[in-house]
Amino acid sequence: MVLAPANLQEAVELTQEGFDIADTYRIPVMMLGDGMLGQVMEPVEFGTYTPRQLPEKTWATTGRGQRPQNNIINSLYIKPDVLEKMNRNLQKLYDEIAQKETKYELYNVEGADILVVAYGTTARIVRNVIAQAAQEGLKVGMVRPITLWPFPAAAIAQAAAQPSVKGVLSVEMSTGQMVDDVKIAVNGAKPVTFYGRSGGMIPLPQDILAHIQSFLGGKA
Amino acid sequence: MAVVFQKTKMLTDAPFHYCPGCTHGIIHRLVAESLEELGVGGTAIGVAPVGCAVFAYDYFNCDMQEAAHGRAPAVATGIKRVHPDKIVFTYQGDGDLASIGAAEIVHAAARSENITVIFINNAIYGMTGGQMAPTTLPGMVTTTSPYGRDTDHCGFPVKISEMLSTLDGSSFIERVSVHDVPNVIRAKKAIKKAFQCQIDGKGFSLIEVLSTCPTNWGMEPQNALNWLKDNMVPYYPLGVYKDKEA
Repeated sequence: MVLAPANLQEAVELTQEGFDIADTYRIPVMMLGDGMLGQVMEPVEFGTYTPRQLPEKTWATTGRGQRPQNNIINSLYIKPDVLEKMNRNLQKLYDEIAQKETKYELYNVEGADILVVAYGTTARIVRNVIAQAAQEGLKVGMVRPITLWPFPAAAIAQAAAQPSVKGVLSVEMSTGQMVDDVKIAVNGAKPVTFYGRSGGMIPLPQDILAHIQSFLGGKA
Repeated sequence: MAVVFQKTKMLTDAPFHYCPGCTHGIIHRLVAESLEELGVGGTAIGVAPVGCAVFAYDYFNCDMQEAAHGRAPAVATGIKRVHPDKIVFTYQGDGDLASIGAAEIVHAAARSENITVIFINNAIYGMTGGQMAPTTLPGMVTTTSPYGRDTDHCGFPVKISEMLSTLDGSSFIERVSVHDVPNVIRAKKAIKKAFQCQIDGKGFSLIEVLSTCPTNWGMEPQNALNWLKDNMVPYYPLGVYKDKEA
């Protein structure tokens, strides 16, 4: 699972929740930060997160004691039929996680002219873009994935399906690591475009807005 | 009729997959007997390596974990720190411990983790097909040193017991062999003492066991035992390298 906080308060809460998620499903959880989140200072509050009820660990290697069988933790399955069964069980788990743990935020989405998908610090910058665009009479909406896996494909598809939406823009601090997922989610229903900066360059609101305007003008 | 010998209950009934003449089987038995005789079977947690002994978790009759290649001492560190009252051991070959896992073993010893490491040195990578290992003797022929290990090009073998004994964190380190009965008996004593060291909370213990690989050495089992005695023992002298008690 990949968690992408957009500010430090969210980073604090998601880090705590990340441990509970990893414990519940026995999967690795990654926190995807960026250079800005890593260096910025913001006040945070602790104690805002309510810990989850965690499952009993009957599988743990704690010494056999009075247990009738040994607990063995491994990931090596030499027999193909056994490995396939394991793979199917894992797939079931992934499906369950996707169903229960997908997190995202919708911002200004209803009736938007254009939909932006952005996460982390980029999503904070896009809020400024949305405010600037509003002054020019353009309604920009945003889907902000909080989990990058599971990816909020259904939420993006639903927001993009609105008749008002003319296109979808993936803004990233990369050369395009998410845009393919956005394209899969939109599934050809609307045109998808990309704007990204990398190497530590931060996308500026006016540059993103300029990209949106040229996209709407049929140029990008 | 009186029972004069029976298999230790700390080994499961799973048949060993080891090649004929390989001494892993003997060493498994010595480890299992030691756990049983010390009465720690119910609290023992073992960590298996990557290599020939990767299936050790099927053979030792206690809770077991599989670690990524070379990482057994790191996994054992985690287990022991969560369960300081349990007996935690790793069982690792020379490819696993002395090559990719060199950093983990050095720092586990340096931190004086209260774990026991059973280190099997057969001077070759067994499972992957007999490649040169960090422990391969100078001049020794392997599939990746077909003209013999050339020390000008490949450097020299790593002497793990000697190296780790220089660290203040290690508590008990002994090198033993299993090429004949007296040595098997000595090896058992050493392994038991290493576990006792952990039970007494004295810190890091490691037993290096010189072992044969008839398949990849290209020898019959008896010749392999003789080759070990004539070639490995002179290069890797047996004995106690560290005993904080002594």
